[in-house]
Amino acid sequence: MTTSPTNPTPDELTCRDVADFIMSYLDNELATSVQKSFSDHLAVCSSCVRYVEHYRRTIEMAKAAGKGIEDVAVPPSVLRAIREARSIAS
Amino acid sequence: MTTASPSPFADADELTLLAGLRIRDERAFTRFESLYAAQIYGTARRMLRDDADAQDAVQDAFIGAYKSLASFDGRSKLSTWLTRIVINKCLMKLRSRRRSHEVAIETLLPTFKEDGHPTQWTSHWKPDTESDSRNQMAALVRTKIDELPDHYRIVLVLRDIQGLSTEETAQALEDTTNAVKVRLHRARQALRTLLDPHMQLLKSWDES
Repeated sequence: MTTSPTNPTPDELTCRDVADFIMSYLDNELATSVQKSFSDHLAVCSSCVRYVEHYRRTIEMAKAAGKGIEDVAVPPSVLRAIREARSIAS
Repeated sequence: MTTASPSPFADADELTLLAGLRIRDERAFTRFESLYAAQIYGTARRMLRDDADAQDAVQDAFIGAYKSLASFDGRSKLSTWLTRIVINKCLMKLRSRRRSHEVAIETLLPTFKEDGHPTQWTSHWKPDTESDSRNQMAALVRTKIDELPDHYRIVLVLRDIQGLSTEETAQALEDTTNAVKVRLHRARQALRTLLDPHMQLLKSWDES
């Protein structure tokens, strides 16, 4: 992919264009005419419909997977080390 | 998420805390650490995938923050400032690691023929309701995120998991917003490719 994902120009989008510009499409960052070309392509290409759906689900799954990592307390030994370091520094 | 969520402080409280930190008030340090240690530990664990390294990064971040308190201009929230510091500590650790095991991102991106058609039609995935249990799926996705090359994984972690904006991510990585967008897009495509074999309802359909 050599083009920017935010600046597509093609009049009639190919499957490659859909794969390249999907992020801008989902973020509503494409020019209105390109957004329409994107939707027109999806109306006739079931493979790209599935790809867009997979992309959207991948983002959702990444977000959900990250939530499970959050609720961990910092070990007391680390907090102790920070306290000692700042008392030495001050 | 971290920096995207509102500060637990009203502005006055934030200023009081900052003033306490600047005169090296013990209670202010303790409050600062109790408010943000777990939050930046989460950031470090997601970026480094190693608890011991993440603990080092948290320790380095607090010490680094205390050393640079005088130069903190107060224009961002303390949590945003501290998050940026821990991200930088994590990036330093990542850069020092060997990366010989990493796959090239190009091998995980979709491929196309000259006419723009895909070389392989997109598979059918199991609907949400038929997917494996939430915990199993989350564990699988975390494993697959870990397989992404660092250069791309970091952007996906900061944007999709940590919840930073494109601008905040670009600032933390000292890169342009456009470069962040390109890397995020490729990271998502690569993650989709890695998840694909586990999500397929049926083996690839012949639609050609």
